[in-house]
Amino acid sequence: MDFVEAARASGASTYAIIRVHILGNVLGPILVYATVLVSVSILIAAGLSFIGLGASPPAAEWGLMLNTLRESIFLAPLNSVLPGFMIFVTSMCFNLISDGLRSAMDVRF
Amino acid sequence: MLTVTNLRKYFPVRAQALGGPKVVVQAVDGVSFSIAQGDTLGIVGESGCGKSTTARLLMQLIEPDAGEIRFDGRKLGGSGMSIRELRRNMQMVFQDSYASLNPRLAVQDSIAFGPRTHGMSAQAARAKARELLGLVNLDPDQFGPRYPHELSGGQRQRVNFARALALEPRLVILDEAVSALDKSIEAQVLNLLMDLKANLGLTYLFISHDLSVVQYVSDHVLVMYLGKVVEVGPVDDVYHRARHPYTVALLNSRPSMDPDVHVEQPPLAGDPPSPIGPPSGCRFRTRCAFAEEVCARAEPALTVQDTSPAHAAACHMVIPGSGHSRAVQQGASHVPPPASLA
Repeated sequence: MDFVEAARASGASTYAIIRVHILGNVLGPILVYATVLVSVSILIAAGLSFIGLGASPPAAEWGLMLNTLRESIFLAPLNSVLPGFMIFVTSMCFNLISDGLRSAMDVRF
Repeated sequence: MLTVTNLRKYFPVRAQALGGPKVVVQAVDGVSFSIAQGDTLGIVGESGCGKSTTARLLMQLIEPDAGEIRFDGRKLGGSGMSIRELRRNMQMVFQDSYASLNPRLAVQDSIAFGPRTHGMSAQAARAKARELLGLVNLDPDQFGPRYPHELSGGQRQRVNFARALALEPRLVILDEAVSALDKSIEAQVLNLLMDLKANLGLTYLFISHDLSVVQYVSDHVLVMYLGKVVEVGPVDDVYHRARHPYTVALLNSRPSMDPDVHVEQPPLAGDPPSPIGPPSGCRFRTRCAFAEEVCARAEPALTVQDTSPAHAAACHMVIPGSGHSRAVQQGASHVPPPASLA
């Protein structure tokens, strides 16, 4: 970026350039990406457990629960969709956090 | 004030085939010039001719392969001038006004950054930044705390000038600094530049592809083609008594203010050849109407013209006894230019 070149041209040290000009600009995108990744990971983990590739029965895992509670869908429908609802709420939360972070970290918003 | 001798930079390119020959782009090849105190040197040329690379080499943003830079007669590097000292005396303004400001810093902090790195206290640097904003006709109270995206292009570029002036340099490199602006804003910013130069005693290296702007601001002009200097001289000599066919073609390609003047044929066809393996001899010969056998064989040296001692061109036609059929005679008192500029 030209502003980094300009900072170099003003004789600043590498450390000062990283601290003032680079960290502030990359920290925002990194945090946003990390939170998005959390919600994606939750979805992937739940999906894998659901098809039997993740956690095994004694462990408590939403995808697993969703799979076991599948059989009781006619007996207690509310119970059987509850894990799915929780997965949805949690990943939604992380998405909203990442949205909020982006707005908070970017001077343009 | 600034003297550059034989500046050279080749950029390595990935070899075409595994184990194949190393390929280099000859971006800047043996460029020499000097700028006097208080002068403005304009550098013109097509895209990719090495104008910006030259600027970056001067600022030591990229390291030259060869060549000598002297500032006030002191050689850069070794026991001479340090890069840090050179950068205090020489600053640069980039073309892209938005990319050259940190989007997360208020513009007054961007301007204050330079003085801060040179040991000024935060308060003094802030005061200096506000003073500089005033100098480029921006109200410090109104514009100082703003972020770059809250300013217009012309205002941003003025902030960039203020930033460049923050270290109180004596020479400012303007790399296409006004090219991205609207014409009306460009004129306004150019006038500001001329005022600043007069008031602060600055020296400019003005890089542009706009020949009319260069004519307006420069005292001397340097024409580049494919990494080499083809013609250099006082602005009047180069614009009115151009000797190199490339300069003539460039000047003829300018839009005219006269509605009755129509350019039927482009003065030059095609693009410049690739700087990877440029033509032998004279680099311009592949597009030159006067190219002869000698042009492919030998490279023309920059030769001083009779118009003025500072005017030099690198063309076999202006070198007496070069072997070109149109070469000037030794000792000719007046040499007509190779092509008419009418």
